[in-house]
Amino acid sequence: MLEFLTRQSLSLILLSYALIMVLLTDQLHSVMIVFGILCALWRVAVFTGRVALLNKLMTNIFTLICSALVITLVYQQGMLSILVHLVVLGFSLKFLELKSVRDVHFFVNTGFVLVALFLVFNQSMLMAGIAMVSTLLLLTILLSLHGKALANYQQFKLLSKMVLLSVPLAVVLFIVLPRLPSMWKMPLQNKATTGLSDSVSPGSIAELSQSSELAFRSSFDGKIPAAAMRYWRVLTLDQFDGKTWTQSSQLKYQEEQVKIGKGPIFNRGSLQYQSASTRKQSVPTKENSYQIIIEPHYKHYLPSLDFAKATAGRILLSDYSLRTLKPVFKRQAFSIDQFNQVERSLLSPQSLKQFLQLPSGGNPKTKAWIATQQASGLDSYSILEQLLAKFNQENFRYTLQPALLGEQQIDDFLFTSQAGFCVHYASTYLYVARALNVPARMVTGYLGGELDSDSEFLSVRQYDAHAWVEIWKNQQWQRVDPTAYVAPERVEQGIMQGLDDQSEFLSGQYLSIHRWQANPFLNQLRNAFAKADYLWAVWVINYDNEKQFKLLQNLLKGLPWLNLSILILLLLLSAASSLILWVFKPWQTEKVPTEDRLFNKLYQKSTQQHLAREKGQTIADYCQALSQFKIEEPQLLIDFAKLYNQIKFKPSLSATQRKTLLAELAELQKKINRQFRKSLDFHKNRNGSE
Amino acid sequence: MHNKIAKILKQLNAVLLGKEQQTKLALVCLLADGHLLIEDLPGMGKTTLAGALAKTLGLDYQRVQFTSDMLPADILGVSIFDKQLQQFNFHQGPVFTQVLLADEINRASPKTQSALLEAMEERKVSIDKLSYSLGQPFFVIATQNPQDQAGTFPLPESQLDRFMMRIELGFPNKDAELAMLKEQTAATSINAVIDSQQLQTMQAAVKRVQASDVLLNYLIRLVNESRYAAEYTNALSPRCSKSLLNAAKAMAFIEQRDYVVPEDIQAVFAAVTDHRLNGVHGVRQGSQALSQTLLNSIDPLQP
Repeated sequence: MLEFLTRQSLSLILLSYALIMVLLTDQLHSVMIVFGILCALWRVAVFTGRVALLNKLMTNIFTLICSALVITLVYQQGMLSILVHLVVLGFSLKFLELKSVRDVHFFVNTGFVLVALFLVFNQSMLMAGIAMVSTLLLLTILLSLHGKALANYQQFKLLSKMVLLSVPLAVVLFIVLPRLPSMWKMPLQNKATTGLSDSVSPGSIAELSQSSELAFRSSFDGKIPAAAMRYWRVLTLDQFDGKTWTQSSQLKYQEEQVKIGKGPIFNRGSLQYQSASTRKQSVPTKENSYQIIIEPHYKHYLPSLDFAKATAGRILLSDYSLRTLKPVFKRQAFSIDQFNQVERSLLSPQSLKQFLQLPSGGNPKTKAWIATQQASGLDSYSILEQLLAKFNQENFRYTLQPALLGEQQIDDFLFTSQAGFCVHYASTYLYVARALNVPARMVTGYLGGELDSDSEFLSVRQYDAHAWVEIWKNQQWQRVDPTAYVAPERVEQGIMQGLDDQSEFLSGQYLSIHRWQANPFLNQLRNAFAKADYLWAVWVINYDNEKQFKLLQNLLKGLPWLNLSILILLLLLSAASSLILWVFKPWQTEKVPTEDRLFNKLYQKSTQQHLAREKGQTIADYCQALSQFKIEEPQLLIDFAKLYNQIKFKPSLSATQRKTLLAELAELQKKINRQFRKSLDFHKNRNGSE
Repeated sequence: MHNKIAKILKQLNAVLLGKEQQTKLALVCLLADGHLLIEDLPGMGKTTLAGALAKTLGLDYQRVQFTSDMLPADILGVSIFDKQLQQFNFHQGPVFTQVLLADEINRASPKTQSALLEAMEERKVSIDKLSYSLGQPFFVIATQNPQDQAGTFPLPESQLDRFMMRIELGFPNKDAELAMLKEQTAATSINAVIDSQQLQTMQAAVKRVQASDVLLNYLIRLVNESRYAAEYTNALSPRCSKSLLNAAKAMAFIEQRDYVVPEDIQAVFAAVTDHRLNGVHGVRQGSQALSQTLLNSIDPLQP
């Protein structure tokens, strides 16, 4: 049926279709996936001869309906998503109606676009490798289409040769070609992704704990802080409705400001309410600095250790957390300085009220417990310590699968279930603190992170998500982590060690390599891969204009007269000239001897007399034949031939003889050409007068 | 020396009217020290040309009419027992001469043909373990009749290859034939223009004619074309390229040049290569001879 498509190319097409659809599964609406599977099945049925291809009209109608359907389905998800869906739709429909070589070209090119789109969403090394494989597969289709005569191994050889040849070119382009950042702006995706959310209720972080996805990586210029000091701050939550912790309107306002790019920058004493009696403040000094390579999460969050300062491109909120100016929609690197303290300030009455906010009523048992403690004459801070002691000494358990809590959450947790994870403990502690009139807030972020084998960088994954508490004491915020009193291992060694029942860790994700940390071989493999991916992120993903410029500048340091534009110009020139050399190969073209050049001049003129030289004709023969034409002195031609033969074929000619003879020949040639011209003019005039 | 050449040609053309091309080629062949095969119908002047050549060049010649019952001894000679001396005496055959005119060579049996061919190539005769050298110069001018093939043994390719040239005479044109009929040119009026000594001097001079690399390149391209192009069933041998060069040199010599030009090669090309290209059973293809096709397919200009 399809002579141009061999069985082999068709299988390749099927395979690459399947692969590309699998690649994009995360980005596609489930309807689209089902549609893709149907397309594949239909195609296989056509392939085996069970059904016919759709006819043209049907295809067109089908396309229109599907496009409309897709747009309505994914309209909410933003431009990029619509784009992806439409391209995938076209890809699938083209896949259905492959009828000619042109169709296959279209299919393959669309495939390339989809692979590029896939790279927009995924930048890790593994994913880049998979994208590479799909690209190769698409190339193989093209090759199998045009190289039918080649055996399989020859095709393979040709393909690998082409790919290998293009590698140096790709590397040079990667290093040299300027990035054009502002020409094309990525439409933002509205899709929720994993990561911390701006509201926390007991249960939500447990979900995160089920994900081993990388959140960010970090490397330190100085000493790497101890595990118990690695509290990566992301969000502060200060509003409690009895079940869920959210941001107060004050904080929300700041976040909104960040989104429109003009958030407050709380750097130097810009905070109001600075007390007049402020002690002589010691100036914050830089302790350490670190780089963060953050995975795309489509928000402005930027995890930081206490305390960070805002620098260009970053915004510091009043709760010390950092925000980026633009949402992180691709792997991105930030370098952050860590300071030992922030400049102190007082809380405004307004914020004080916010940090003491509690829902009215509820949780009577807890309130009763506080009352008994107060009755025994303890002050607020001592009661809070009592609470931590209670966590530590009573039968509290750290688990990712706690029992559901009832209406009176705090009561239920503190007196009934006594099993939970960080949010439960933090939430309870906060509740008690606020009930005792101690300003307090919840901080969410990440705790810990795993060092690679060479202790070069930390990998912080989603399961490292954590929540802790800050209380206002001695006119500054102090960190309290109630979880540490229940499961100190969680703080010091990570979540897996913190769990009482370690099988809870990543339960349901048997395939995740992180679940099997106990296996030394797998662990080693995982470490090696993590390292490679880190290097990939540092050297490939984050290779931007700035780095490019720096690299080139370093290269050019030795040559001060050479600036970047001249270099690019030189590169372009050399590329063009080598191309010209390669095409024309001047070293391969022999120099035309002078006598032949003279003859060619004569010949060009003489062909106007409509006498072409036959292939086997010698020059003497030709001149003989030519002398029969209208020319004043036919003898000139005979002489020319004689002289030519002498110069060309007499080996015993000396150089000077040769020179004089050549001069003579040139003279003859000029004379003959003149005569030709004359006779031509004569003919023209005669023809004109007729 | 060159006026001698002109004289020779003039005399030959007086004997064979209107065949300037052929007489020139025949002279070229002898000057290049090669053997000549003349092929044509009976009565075209083959033998006349051969005889005139030998006489003009001052060479003594023997004529042998080949027949199918001829034996090698009839050409080479035979050892006969001398009763008085009680030993065998070798009686030289007609081959011991300067020019051997082998008439209708294709009538002899292959055995006899090959006896002659050894003499042609080696320029010596081996009989009874003894080798007898032939004189210098030594030419074989053979004639054969392409028609009337009954009872003939066509020369195989290997033997054809030993003849430097094969020429055809063809019918004379009207004027030449008229002239021939009017004045009966007697063979007796032919005088020797040069002697064999002078001939050898000329041959030495021919050997000194130069051939440039460009020209040799052209020659090699011609020969190679016959070896690698599909339309030629018989490729040209290296012996042929040697003959081609020697003949071209002789042609250049006759044209009073001390270097070879492509025109020389083209002039001798058909005579030198046609019999080799066509072979024994060779049939002319189309209107053009194979040699002409070959010449036309190679550009003397472009390397």
